[in-house]
Amino acid sequence: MKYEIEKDIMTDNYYLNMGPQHPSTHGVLRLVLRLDGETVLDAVPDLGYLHRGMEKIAESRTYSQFLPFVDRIDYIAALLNEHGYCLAVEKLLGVTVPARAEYIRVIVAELNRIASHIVWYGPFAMDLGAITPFLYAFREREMILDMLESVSGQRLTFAYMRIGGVRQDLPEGFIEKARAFCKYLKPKIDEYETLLTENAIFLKRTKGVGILSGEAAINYGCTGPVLRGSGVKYDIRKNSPYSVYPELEFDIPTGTVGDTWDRYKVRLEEMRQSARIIEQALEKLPSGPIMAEVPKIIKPAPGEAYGRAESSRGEIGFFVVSDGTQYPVRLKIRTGSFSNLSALRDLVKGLKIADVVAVLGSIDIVLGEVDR
Amino acid sequence: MIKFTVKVFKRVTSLLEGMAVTIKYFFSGPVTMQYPDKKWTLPERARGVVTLIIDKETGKHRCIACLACVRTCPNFSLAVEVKTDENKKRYPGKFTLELGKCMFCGLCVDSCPTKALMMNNEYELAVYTRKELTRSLLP
Repeated sequence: MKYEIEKDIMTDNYYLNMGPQHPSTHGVLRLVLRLDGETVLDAVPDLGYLHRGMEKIAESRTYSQFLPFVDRIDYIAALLNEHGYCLAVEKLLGVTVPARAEYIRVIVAELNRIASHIVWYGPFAMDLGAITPFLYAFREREMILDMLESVSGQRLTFAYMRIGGVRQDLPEGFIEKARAFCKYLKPKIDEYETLLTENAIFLKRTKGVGILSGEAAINYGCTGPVLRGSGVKYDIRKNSPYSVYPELEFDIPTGTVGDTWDRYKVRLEEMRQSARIIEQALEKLPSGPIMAEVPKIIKPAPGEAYGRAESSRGEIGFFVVSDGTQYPVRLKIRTGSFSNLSALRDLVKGLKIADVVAVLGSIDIVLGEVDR
Repeated sequence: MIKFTVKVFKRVTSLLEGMAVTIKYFFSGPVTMQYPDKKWTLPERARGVVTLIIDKETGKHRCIACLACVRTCPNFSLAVEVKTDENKKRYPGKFTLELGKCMFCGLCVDSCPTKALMMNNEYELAVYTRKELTRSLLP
């Protein structure tokens, strides 16, 4: 909702720092808000509080040594990052990954996508004052993390994929557990919807707030649910398929208006689609090796490659340049959150402060990914 | 007027539907674990602290001090002092792990040619001093 600014009383604009310690800026993001009363005239995101120099670190690490660092770019969806990075290096090496490894990658990545969307769903509802959904959502996330822990050994920074395959095969009983979980999850997502989708307060806070048109979203370079919420049907899994996604059936949910509610709806639908993908992948899971023949010391021929994957927050891309040694000369990381955040300035102009929190929540940024 | 009443009715029921979900869970048991009293059973693959596998009967480890783990560690948290015995066989004189640097990625375990390393199930790793963060892996 845009608010008309009353002109008859002369008041001064003032500045407000939202963050970096604000509880609803989702990390160490500082927003410099220029305000007229409670109406936001301008919002400038100030980045860099979580800058760890990932791209520079990569230049002094070997290709396989950098993998655990990739987990820490977007720590909520670590496996999706790993997938993108492995795709880039495998492209550079010219390695074909065995089918079983690719299926395992897709299964764990989609599980991670659901976990990541749950981490968005809970805090987003909490930003708007609904505390209950957070607790229910994290109950399901716990089950996913338990499953991923049994596969990889860690709960958040998995370091599970390897260049050329995956570290270990799926443990015994995992397939049944994953299948049971997909069945269990679907009614739970309906329950999430009962809690929020038609809730009167939630509708008031989200419908028509922070409208991002499809054209603007493309111009800002938005990807992922933010772009799809604006009605643009673009998903890297479909538009430039990688891994085994062409063999799996799923829909790309899109919004119509591009407001906060649409972005919410898209993510919930994506969780259902992810569960669908997992079920199919478990069904089709072939047997065979889980690692391709990769030399112990990875020394790609001089050249460059760009590998990208659809993360839960948009396109995650790795541009790797090799000069023939075991260290990359340059590694550029393209993340979804960074581009999505750039649209925020336009979205919040004319809104009230409380709506800034709602819009920021609906963009779903992870500061580790924004700052790298 | 009727439209308005329907709208109000819908809005009110939407709130009640949410409440119904909450009340349903009011009668089911807790999902959380009372952590310090009850403890987790970690899966087999859980990656805790890196340790040398010690043979229970002989009390020996399989490390040959080849430094593969030291070289593969992304954060340079492992250190091995190489020593040679009278048969010119290499063995580790010192084998230390700096826990503060460790990322628990498991690359060292993967790189070991003799499968001498493993990651145990320890996860309560807080210590009081910086010195305690450096651990010796040798018995």
